[in-house]
Amino acid sequence: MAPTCPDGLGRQDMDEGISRDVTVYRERVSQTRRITQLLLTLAGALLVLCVRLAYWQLPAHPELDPYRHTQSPESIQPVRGGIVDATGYYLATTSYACRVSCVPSLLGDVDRDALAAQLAEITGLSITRVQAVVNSDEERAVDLVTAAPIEVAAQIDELAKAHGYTWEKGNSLALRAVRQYQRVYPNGELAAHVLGYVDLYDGKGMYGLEQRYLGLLTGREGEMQGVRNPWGYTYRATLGGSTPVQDGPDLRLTLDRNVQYAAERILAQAMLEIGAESGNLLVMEPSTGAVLAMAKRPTYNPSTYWQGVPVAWFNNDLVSMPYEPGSVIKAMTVAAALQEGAIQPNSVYLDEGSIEIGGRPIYNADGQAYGRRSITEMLAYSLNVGAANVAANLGPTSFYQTMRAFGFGEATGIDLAAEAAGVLRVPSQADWSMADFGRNAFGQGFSATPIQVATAFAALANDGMRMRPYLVAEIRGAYRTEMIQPQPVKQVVSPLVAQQTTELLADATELGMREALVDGYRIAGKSGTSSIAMGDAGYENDEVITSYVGYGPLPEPRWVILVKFDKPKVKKWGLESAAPEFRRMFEFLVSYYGVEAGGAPDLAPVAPVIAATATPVPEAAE
Amino acid sequence: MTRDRGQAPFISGPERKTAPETGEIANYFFYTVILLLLTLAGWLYLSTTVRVDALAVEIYRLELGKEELRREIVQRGAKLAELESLQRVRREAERLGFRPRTRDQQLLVPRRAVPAPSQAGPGPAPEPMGLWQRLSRFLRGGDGADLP
Repeated sequence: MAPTCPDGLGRQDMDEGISRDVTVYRERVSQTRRITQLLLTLAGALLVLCVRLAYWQLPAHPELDPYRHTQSPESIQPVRGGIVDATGYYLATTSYACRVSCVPSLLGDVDRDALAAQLAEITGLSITRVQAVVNSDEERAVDLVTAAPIEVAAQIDELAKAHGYTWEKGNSLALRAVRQYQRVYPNGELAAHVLGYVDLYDGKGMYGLEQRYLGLLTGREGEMQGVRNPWGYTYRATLGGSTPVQDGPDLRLTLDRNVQYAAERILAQAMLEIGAESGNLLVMEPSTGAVLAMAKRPTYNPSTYWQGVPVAWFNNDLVSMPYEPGSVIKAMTVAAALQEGAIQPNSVYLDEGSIEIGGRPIYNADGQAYGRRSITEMLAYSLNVGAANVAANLGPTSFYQTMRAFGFGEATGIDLAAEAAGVLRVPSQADWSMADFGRNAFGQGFSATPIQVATAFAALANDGMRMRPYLVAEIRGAYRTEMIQPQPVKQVVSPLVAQQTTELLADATELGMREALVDGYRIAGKSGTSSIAMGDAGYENDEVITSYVGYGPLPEPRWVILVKFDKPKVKKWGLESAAPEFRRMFEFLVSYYGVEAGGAPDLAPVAPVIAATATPVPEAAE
Repeated sequence: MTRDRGQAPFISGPERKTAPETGEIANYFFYTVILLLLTLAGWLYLSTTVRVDALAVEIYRLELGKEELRREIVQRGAKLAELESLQRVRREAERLGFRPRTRDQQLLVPRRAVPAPSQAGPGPAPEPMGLWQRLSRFLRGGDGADLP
C-alpha cells in the first residue's frame, strides 16, 4: 500500500506539490536576481551619465565654443536717442534702413551688366554708377547705397540667392544688404556743427553733441535669450528671460531751428557778399547761457559726411578754434577798470596817438592822435591807445584777474565736444611780459574762442553774472528724464559796473557803430578787427578777422549775438562786414519773438542809404 | 475535510488554486499607487513642460513682434521727422511758387539809416600829430597787430 500523507494525499501528489513549490521558489529567486541586475545596470548607467555630465559641465571645454550659438542670447540693438530743437522738431533721429554693398571680386562669372541693371532698379541708383562698382575688381566691400528703405533688403537677398552667392551669418558675401539702425538728419546741413555726425560703420558719434553725449545717446544693448533648433533657427525663449534693451534718451536743445536757419542763411549770404573764408554766428540768452543758434560756414551735411568734406569743416570753430578777438575786448578792459575804480564812466584821457607799455609802442589803427576823448568815444571809434591807457591805469594784476573771471583762458564748459580753452598769459607765467599786457587790453596777443567772447559779453548783459553756456535743456527717455538748469559760474563785475559798461557800449554804438543799430531798439555792442596770428611767426599780412558782438534790446537784453568772419576779401572792418549781419540777425529775432520796440532814444532819422549798403546779392548757395 | 497548512507547509495538492496572499495584494497595491503617482508626475511634468515650451515660443514670438514694432516706430519717426523738416517746408514752398527772401527783403524791421561804409570814417577828426610825436613814432617803429 502506497504511503499516504496525513491529509490523505498520495505520495505522487506530494512530490508534484514539492516540485512545484521549488520551481516557484526558484523562479522568485531568479526574478529577484534579474531585478537586482537590472537595477544595478540602470544605476551603473546613471552613474556613467552623472560622471559624463559632470565632465562636460564642470571644467571648461573650448571645443564646445563653436556650438555655443545654439543657445546663445541674441542681442537687441538699442535705438540711438534723437536730438530735438527747443520747439520739439527732430534735428537728428534714427531710422531702420539697409546698407547695400557688394564685393566686386566675389561676384563671379555672372552677366555683370545684367546684375547692374537689376541692382539699379532695386536701389534706384543710376545704372552707370552701379556698373562702375560692379565691373570693377575691387576686393573690399563697396557701398552702393548707405540708407536704402528696409524693403530693399529682401529684394537684394533674393537677388543674391538667385545668383547662388555664398552666405554667412544671414548675408551673402558678394552682395549684401545689412539691416541696421542708421542716423538721419532730416534738416540736412542745419546745425551740422552743433550735432556732429555718427560714423556709418561703427556707430560712434563724432564731433558736436553726437560725440559729447556718445554714451548717453547710444543706450544699452538688450539680450533676447533664445533656444535654437538643430538647424540654427531660434524658436523659443529660454526660462532665463530677456534683458530689456534701453534705447538712448532724446536730447532737447535750447537751440531753435528757425533761429538757427535764419542765422545760417544770414551767414551764408554775407559770406558770399564779402568773400570770407569762413564765418560764425552765435545767438545766446545772457540770463541763462542758453544757445539759441550756433552757425558756421562752410558746412557739410552730416547724413553724407563721407562725401569729400575737408576735415577742417567738421570742426565747430565757435568752440574749438581760438582767435585773437581784437577790439571787442575793449569792453572787458573798460569793465575791469570800472570795477577797480581806475576810471569812471565819464572819465576822459589824452590820446597822443601812441602809448608805450612794456617797452612796446601802441598806436591807433589809423596811426592818428585824437586828443582828449571820453571812454564812450574810445569805444565808439575803437581807439587802441585809449584802451591801453585805461589798462595802464588799472594795472596788470586787476586786469588779468577780471579777464580770468570773464572766462578767458579756460573752457566755458559748454556741452559740446572738443572745446578749446584759448591762451591768456598772466603775470605769474614766465613767458608773460608787460608788452603782452598793453596788447591784451585791446584784444591782441591772446586767444579766445567765439563762445568765450560771447559768454563774456553775456556776463555784462546779465548784471555781471557769468553763466555757463549750454545746449541741452532736457534729457528725456524711458529710463532717464532730467531738466538741465542754467548754471551761474561767477559774478565777474558788480551789477552797477555791468550796467555802466552796457550804457557806455550802447552810447558808443549809437555814436560810432550805427551799422549795428535797429530802429526802436537800444543795443550795446563792440566791433573788432584783428590780425591773424601765425604762432611765433608774427601776423598774416593783409588778412584779418572781423567781428561784432552785441546785445539787446536794452534795458533788459534778451540776446547776445556774435558775428565773426575770417579773412574777408572786401569790407575788412568789423564795422563794415559783421555789424550789418548783427543787425539782420537782431531784426529777425525781434520779429520772430515778437519783441516790441522801446527803450531806444528817438534819434533823428538820416536819409536812407539802403541802395548803398544793401546791395542785392545772388541767392546764397546753401 | 480541511487542510492544515501549518502542518504541511510545503505540500500542496494538484487542484489547489494560487490565490493571492495578503502581502502580495499589498505589494500590487503599492506598485499600482507608485505607477499612478509616477504617471501623474510624468503627466504633470510633460504638461508643464509643454505649457512652458508653448509659452516660451509665444514669448519669443511676441519679442520678435515687439522688436518689429520698435523698428516700425523708428522708421515712422524718421519719416515724420523728414516730413516736418525745414528742407521739406522750403521744397514745398518753392513748389507752391514762393521764393526765398532776398537780402533786402530780409529787413523785417524798418532799419535805422546809417552812413554808407565809404562815408563812415573811423570817427572824429584826428588831431594833427606834432613834430615830436611823428619823430618819436618813426624812431620806435610800428606794431602790425594793433588794429581796432
